[in-house]
Amino acid sequence: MSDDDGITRDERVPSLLAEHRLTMLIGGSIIIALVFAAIGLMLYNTSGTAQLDLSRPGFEGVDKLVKEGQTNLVEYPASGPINEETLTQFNRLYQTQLENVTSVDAFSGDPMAPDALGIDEPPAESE
Amino acid sequence: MKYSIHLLVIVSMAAVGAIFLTVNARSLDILPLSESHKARIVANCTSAKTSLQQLHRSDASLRVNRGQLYQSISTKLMARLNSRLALNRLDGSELVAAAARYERSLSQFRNSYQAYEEQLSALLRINCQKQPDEFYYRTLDVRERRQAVAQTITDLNHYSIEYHQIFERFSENYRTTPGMETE
Repeated sequence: MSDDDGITRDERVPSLLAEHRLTMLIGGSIIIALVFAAIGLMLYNTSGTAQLDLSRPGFEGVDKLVKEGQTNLVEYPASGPINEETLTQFNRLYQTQLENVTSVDAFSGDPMAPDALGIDEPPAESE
Repeated sequence: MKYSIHLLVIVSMAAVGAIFLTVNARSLDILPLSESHKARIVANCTSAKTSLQQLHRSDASLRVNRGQLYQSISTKLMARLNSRLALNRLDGSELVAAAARYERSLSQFRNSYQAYEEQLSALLRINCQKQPDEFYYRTLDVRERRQAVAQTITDLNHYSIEYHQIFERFSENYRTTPGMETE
């Protein structure tokens, strides 16, 4: 099968690709970038990273409330002998952290109770 | 063949029926609010949203702080002691089991906080002036999710205390029975 100019369809397709090489390169690059950005965003949202990201809109200044000292905990050496001294050393390190853990009653209370937010059912009016 | 097709049809119908009943049972829980209740929500909508936004921010920092603290106990203390005991051929199986329970609880804390935070963000996007019903029932749902997070914190505290108690028992045994290496 051939067209009026004597060029077959099979010959025309490669020449079309050759003519629009730059356009296709740019288009392809944009599509690949969009796909990777979508995958990245999906992973950001589903992995729980978003919940740890304090630079999100609406969380300005919250990062100042993050306590730096907690991550500076001395690591207990993973190798070495076990004796009275090393067990006491571990006990001392662990007790310090245990106090940090149990001293704050995190997520306690009921700040989302309807009455605390003022959205509870109003009392029925007496007649 | 015919028998299995009949069985398949019956199972499918039962499944559809169960889903229908579950959805209906759930919709029965969500009763329409009275007009006075809706009016109260609309009136207090702005202040309720402000309180929720503040809670969102304070819970975010709490999540990061508590997460770091619990994670450091696991990686910098528990895992390292367990490894050291194993290298010294000492029986730390109870400590390993306690550390595994702690780690599971830590994972539950991360998951439950994520679910809570996603729902709280969705709640804050609701226009409570126009959708007071939706806002109210979503608030109740998010409240339950926050209580689930609080429960995981209680569990984590419990398991960290449990690990310490097992460690103290181990130390006591070690002092009274020197050379308690595993075979």
